[in-house]
Amino acid sequence: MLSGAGNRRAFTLTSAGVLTSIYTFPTNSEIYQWEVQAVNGQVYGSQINPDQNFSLNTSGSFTYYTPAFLNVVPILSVQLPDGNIYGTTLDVGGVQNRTFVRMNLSGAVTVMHTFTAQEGDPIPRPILASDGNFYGMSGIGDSYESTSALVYELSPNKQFKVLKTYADGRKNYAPATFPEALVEVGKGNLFGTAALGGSNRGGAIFELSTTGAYKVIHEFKDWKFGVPTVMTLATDGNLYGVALGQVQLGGLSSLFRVTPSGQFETLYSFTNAAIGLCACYLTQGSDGKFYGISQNGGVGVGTAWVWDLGLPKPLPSLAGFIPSSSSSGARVTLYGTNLLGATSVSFNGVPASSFSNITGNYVSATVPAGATTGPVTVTTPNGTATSPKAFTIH
Amino acid sequence: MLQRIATGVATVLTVVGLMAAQPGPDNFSGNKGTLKVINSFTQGFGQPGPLIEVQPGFFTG
Repeated sequence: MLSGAGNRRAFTLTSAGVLTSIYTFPTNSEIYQWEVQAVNGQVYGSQINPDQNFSLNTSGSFTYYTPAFLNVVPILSVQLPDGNIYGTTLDVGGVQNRTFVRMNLSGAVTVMHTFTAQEGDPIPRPILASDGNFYGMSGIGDSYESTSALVYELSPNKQFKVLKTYADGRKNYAPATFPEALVEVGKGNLFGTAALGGSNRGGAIFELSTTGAYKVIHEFKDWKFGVPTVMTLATDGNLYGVALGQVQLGGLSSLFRVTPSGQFETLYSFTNAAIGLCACYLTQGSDGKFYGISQNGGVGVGTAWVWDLGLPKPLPSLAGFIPSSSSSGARVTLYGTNLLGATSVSFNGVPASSFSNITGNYVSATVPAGATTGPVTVTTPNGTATSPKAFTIH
Repeated sequence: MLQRIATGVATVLTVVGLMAAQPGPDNFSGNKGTLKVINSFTQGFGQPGPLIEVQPGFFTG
């Protein structure tokens, strides 16, 4: 989102830098940073003042959804092929509204868990791990200066468990001071950041297994030169992130890489004038390059930028399809990752009658006449993905 | 010879000391890769958040 003189705007941006506003939010509305693109192709987000969820597409079509309870909207971060979207609600105006919720494509919200005082205030952007459970962080105390924090696990059938607690946020790298988020690397290895924890108060990067084993893999030495924010798992298997510098103290934002084994290196130091202050999120595009947006750079109101490290382009992968069987002529939704730009779809070697990209996670395809039971393949400019299971033709 | 070695070691230690005292990001030895500003906003300001790639090379946020 872009902010303006009282109005936030949704936009599109090309890799060449062409920026187009597609929607202007009401004056004084605030927009939470996290958005997700669901199976219907719509981008879902959360607005406060007034508090509403919304969905939009790149042509500017826009829909608001009235909050289901307590005038609090969930901040959404996980979407699944069945159309459900998941997120958390936070304390607003000193009123406790701490829940983990599921929302459908029409905006109907179901509470999956209500956090107790001991379970804290959930930080936005829980993740869905490969074991099928949700993982997230929550803070206890002032969310910007947590006195303690924890990492939780929530199963799809609503079983809640605390994986790890941090009794003293300052000494023990408590999360919950910035919009940190967990990232899964491999199966069961969660990595996260704690923005201001540790002996230097400069933040830290930690590793936490889904069985609870925990270790700090890097501690930042000087918070002036950046406290870690959200990390992204890139195509080379390493984590990349932004350290938010403290400009008023002479610090600069920087970009870093940390390997899963803990080798840390700062790879790029920003210039405030050209690029600006950056609590950015790195998005790796289908061309393998990172894209981001920062504040205060350029003429003073921020910049969009691309960072090319020569990383591999993301390969497509297929996880499954809905429905799992049909006859020819039926429309099937294929789901996976990095499916943008699909150039062909085949059912056991027979080209689909028609297909279209819905999102980077979804392709819709029509089962062709003559197809037989077997794997489905999707080809993009970056490679070909094959489904792990056979699609059954009736 | 020993004096030369001692002088060299002292020089190295001085350089290392200066490097250690130099403030800056952790383990930083110069910019890597190519970073290019592709748009300098002329109104509003960037509100950092994730961009979503909706078509190859086409993002929304």
